[in-house]
Amino acid sequence: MDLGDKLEILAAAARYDASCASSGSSRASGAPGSAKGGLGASRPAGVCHSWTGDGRCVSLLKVLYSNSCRKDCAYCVNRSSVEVDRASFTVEELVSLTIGFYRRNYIEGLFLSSGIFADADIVMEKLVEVARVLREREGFGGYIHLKAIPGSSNKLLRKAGRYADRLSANIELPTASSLARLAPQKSGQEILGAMRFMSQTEAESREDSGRLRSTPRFAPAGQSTQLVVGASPEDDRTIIRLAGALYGRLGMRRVYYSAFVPVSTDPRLPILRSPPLVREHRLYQADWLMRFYGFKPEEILDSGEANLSSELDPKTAWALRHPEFFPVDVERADYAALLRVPGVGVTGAGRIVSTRHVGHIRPEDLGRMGIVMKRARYFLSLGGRPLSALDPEGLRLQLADGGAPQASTWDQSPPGMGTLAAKAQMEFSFA
Amino acid sequence: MRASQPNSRGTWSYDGSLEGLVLLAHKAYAEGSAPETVANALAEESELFALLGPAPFEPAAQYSSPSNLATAAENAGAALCAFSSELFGLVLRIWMSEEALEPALLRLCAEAGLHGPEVIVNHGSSDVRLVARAALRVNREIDRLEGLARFSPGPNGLFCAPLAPDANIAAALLPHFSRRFGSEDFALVDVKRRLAFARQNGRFGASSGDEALAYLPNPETARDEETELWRRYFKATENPARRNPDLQRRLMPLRYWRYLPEIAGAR
Repeated sequence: MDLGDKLEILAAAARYDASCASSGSSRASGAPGSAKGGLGASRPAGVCHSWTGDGRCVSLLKVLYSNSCRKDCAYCVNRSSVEVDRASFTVEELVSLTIGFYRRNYIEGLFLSSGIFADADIVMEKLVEVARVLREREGFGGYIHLKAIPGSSNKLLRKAGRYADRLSANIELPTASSLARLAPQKSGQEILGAMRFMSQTEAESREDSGRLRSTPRFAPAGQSTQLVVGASPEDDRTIIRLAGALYGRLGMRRVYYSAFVPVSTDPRLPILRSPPLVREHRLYQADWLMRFYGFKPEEILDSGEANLSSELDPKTAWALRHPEFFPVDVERADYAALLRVPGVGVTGAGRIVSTRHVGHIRPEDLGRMGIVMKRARYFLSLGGRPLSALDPEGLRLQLADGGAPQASTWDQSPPGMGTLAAKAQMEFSFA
Repeated sequence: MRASQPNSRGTWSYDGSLEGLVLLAHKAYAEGSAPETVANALAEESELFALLGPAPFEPAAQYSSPSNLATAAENAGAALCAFSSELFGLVLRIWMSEEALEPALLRLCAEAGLHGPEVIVNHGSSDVRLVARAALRVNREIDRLEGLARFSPGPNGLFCAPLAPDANIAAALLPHFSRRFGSEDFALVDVKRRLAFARQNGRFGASSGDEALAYLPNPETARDEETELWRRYFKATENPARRNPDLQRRLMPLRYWRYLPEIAGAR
């Protein structure tokens, strides 16, 4: 099997992992302590290098080290019981591919995961070795995201965090019972244990580098995780609360949601005609509300409903449930209140606040500031006068987007730190 | 807005260079006045960029501070930058945009001189909107091409990326690629404007015309084994269950596909 064949197999095997972000880290080239120059740098905003036919940003060379796996998780394309071509890279092959692709500006770096082809420590050692050679021998300064293999030793995880910008352990299913049913060889305790260790070590490292700048940072872009949506019966409320806890208690930088793609006829799995993309999109919108719009997890579904509306985005749905909060006055409301208005995004709210300092805002100015007036006008007032009457029942139909296909919400940079293009996309998809 | 507005009278002219625009911007700011129209001599010529010449420069400073402009413009740029780095940034981006927005930009500079730098965030102003949108288009293109530039070995082995940007941004990409290439040399060629910016033996230089195009990789040999691996990777990583070509084209407009080996030729 030649390198191209391996690459095809191990890239296809990794494509169900939604994460491909290269953001959150800043690093220059050159091996630590070495005079030898190197190649590559990473920057906090990350860079997209292409977009696949599914609209997903390609930022990293995302591959598995091996798709041989001892585990037989029902939802996984690489599970042990399925007959597929199996392949494994060597460390040198991966180093050469990463450097070659990076030099041509195809990628920002490497995202390396693996099937569990041996004991957790042996698999983790291979991933760490690739990162070590890239950093220490090649002086590579590009982005490295390594999968933390649950069950591997803390010593190896610590070493991984020394070379990687980001680490991730996928939680995959939102409850222990679903994990036991669909992935019985996986241990929720091991996954959470790895997450806790990485969270604590990252916090310690941040504290140490605050005291002494030369202290090497542990996974400076933090950790992320992924949940498969639709393979198990949990509702959106459960998923949102879990995500909120992961952000709040484990300092997770990103929770990715991956709509379940039916890849097998395993009777434990639901029969779906297509992946639940609208549901995935709504969960990403809810996620952004928690991360950038000041919403608490329990606010997003606060009316006893178990699932997000497929017709209304979660911010509009919240606004229609809370007419008492509106109208929000453009001249007086603070930034946090403006962010709660449907049609007002992070950029628009910022523009309203900055423009108020230098002059009066007229209704016709709002559209020019990037406010989506066909939504926002029902929730805003100017000088104490509502721009349009708020009739929640009538608006419910009028503001429904029917689960409009998403702009790429997987890997956008956070507002305030991302590229302008990413910010513009975020405004487009969400405001 | 405040009542007093800058005077708008007559026509100001400049040679189309960045230095020229910086000098006009400073004049508008210092005098609190702006012209009704601006004559851009360079925009009326065709082989304009030969004027840039092959002079070495430091790219990190070129589009982030006034220190590399000619002396008179450098002083003007420094004064503008000290007053408001955001305003100076708008001047740079309007120049890069090659859009005929000089009158709006100069009115903004004049108004900022009269009322303070915060006028540039007054999004109720039509001049602010015009200038800010053009600057945003430039910034977006810089962001895009930082990802979409594709390097391959040129005739002398130097890794080179051909570009055909809407705005004159090739030099503005240099700081990013300098950092990215670390200790290695590289070149960027704006095929549309026949301009090249290269780092060779650690030194930067600019060239134009045929000299610039000489950096370009031969299209016949550019498609090598590594390119083929990348094409195979790109194809394998797409998830067929989620196909959404409209979204792909919105995020990666067709006009950039020409130099992307993974997708060139696919429409």
